[in-house]
Amino acid sequence: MQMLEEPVRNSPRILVSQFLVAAFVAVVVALTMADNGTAAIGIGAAVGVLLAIYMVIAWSRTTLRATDTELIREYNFLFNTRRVVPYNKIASVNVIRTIFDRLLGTATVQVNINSAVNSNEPEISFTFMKDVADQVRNEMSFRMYGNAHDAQREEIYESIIPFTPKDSILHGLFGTSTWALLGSILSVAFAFGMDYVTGGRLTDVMMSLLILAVMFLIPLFSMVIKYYNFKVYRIKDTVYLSHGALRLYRTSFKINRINAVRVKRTLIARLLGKASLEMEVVGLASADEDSRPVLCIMTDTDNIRKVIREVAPMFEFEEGALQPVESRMVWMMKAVYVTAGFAILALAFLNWYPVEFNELFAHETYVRMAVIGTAVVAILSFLGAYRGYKVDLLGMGEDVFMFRYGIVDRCTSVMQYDRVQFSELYAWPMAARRGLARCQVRMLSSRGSSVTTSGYYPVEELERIQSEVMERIRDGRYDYRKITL
Amino acid sequence: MSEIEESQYKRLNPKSRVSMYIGKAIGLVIWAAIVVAAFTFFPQYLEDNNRFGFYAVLALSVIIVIYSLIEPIVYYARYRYVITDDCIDIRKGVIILRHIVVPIERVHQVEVVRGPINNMFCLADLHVTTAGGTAAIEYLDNDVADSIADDLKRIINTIVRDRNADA
Repeated sequence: MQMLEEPVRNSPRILVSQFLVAAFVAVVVALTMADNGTAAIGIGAAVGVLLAIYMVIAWSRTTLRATDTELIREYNFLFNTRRVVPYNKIASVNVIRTIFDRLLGTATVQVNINSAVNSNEPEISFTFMKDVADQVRNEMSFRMYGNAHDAQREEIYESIIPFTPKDSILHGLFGTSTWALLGSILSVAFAFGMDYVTGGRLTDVMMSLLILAVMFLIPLFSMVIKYYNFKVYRIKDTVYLSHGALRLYRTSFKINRINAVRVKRTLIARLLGKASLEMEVVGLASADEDSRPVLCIMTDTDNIRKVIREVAPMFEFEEGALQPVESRMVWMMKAVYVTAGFAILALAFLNWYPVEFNELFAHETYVRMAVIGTAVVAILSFLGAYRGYKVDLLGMGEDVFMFRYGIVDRCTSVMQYDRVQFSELYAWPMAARRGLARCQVRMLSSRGSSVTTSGYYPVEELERIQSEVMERIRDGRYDYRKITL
Repeated sequence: MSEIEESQYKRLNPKSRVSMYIGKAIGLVIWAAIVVAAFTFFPQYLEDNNRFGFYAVLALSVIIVIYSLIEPIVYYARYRYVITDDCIDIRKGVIILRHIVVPIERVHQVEVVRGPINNMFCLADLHVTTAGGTAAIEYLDNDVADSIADDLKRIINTIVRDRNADA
């Protein structure tokens, strides 16, 4: 690689942010030892200086270089480490710009490999001046994917579908699970409700506002900011993603690195006729932190189909069969067991609750709570069982198979047989008696490994997934060269 | 998988039941110690008018004891496995029946694990790790576990060698 023929160091500007960390540690040490008077300042300063010296030496001893076949990161201070990453093992290259990067004019290039062990940490992370980072990424893109991608003029590439700020806001609001959203709303409502009941002291109101911010507003804004200006496009066999208002995310990976795609439709997304698209690409989790990489933020379902068709056509598969009628009883019995279990617990509680509870409410109130609670659990269980029976789908195509599941938030997961690591059929007595089971498919995912579970289907039908995986290995349809792990 | 005949499946060594019972007995002793300690520290839950906790723990303990007595028998009776040229097939389960199929092609690592109780009976567990997780064949005779591990390693090495030759 022309840019990295000679070993290079991280941009010296990263030392600015590292010195800030050293200063912070120095202040914390000084404050912890405040009882020792002026000595504390001296000790804090000494710790800060030592840390800063270590940072400078570590910076000067860390280099990155590239050969025709691999990237080599070397570090030789205290420990000698030499990390070699062959280009053909690289799953994705991300360029990330944090607020610090923007202030310092730098950008961080992250190189991820297909590894379940290091799925949350980039294999190599190096900070350059922004134009150098773009150039490095372009050259790596050319070397890995065989196409020249001009990151500095990214605006010349058109997104497969246009995204507006409204899409980012909708994704921020309704892209997360309905249960999480409901939990946040209930917490906030409870906090303000208690304020109302107790007369609303200023400190209580402040606490409620804090809960509102932590549970609702901050996650919402961070999602909106993260997916602002979302763009997805494909050049030859490479997919490019870019998004972010304050922190810029740029990611690229080959389409044959996609292990599975998931069309996610939360309750409100379904009501709005929208969906979002996630994918499993090992090595992308670091660019996306705690969540599964998003291939398309919440948009109309037709747009989702278009993105799948253009980005990953091998995952275009929607045909599936509902669960057989016999499964209805299995779902219903689950609801019966849940309701009966709750009712027994409620009865036991009413008979033997601890004496301390007498101080809170009268016995009649507990009885009412138990009856209402059991009724609510019964209604939710049977409703959930009915929906569970109606929602789950199973489809098996030539190269891919599909599970649809989710009572409240619906997810359609399309997976390739060749990516299945192993599978497990399991059945509890009610299902086994009817010849039904569920299938758990384990795959390599962006966060290590993932498990996807089907609904209740005849055992022979689910065994076809296991058979197909094995048949493809036996007859050579599975080609390990296309599935590099 | 359907193409594997029932007669091809192998069963566990009968010693595995004794190993399981000893494991369960140790578990029950630990449970009893926790319960005794809990009621020693919170004696108020043993008083006549405040026995919710006591009855809940008692019910749970009865269930645990009954399950511990039955589980090894059923687990042993249902457990069977087969290793073909290209896959590991395991069928097991007490309440929930499981059928696991691991293609040997996907196996990255093979490990023979001997816990202290299994060791007393010359038994071992064989763990096979894939990129999607780990599956285990439990309570194998030591020599059987070692021989399966060697066979699996040989198959995996052959696959890797063939691939390197292709490349």
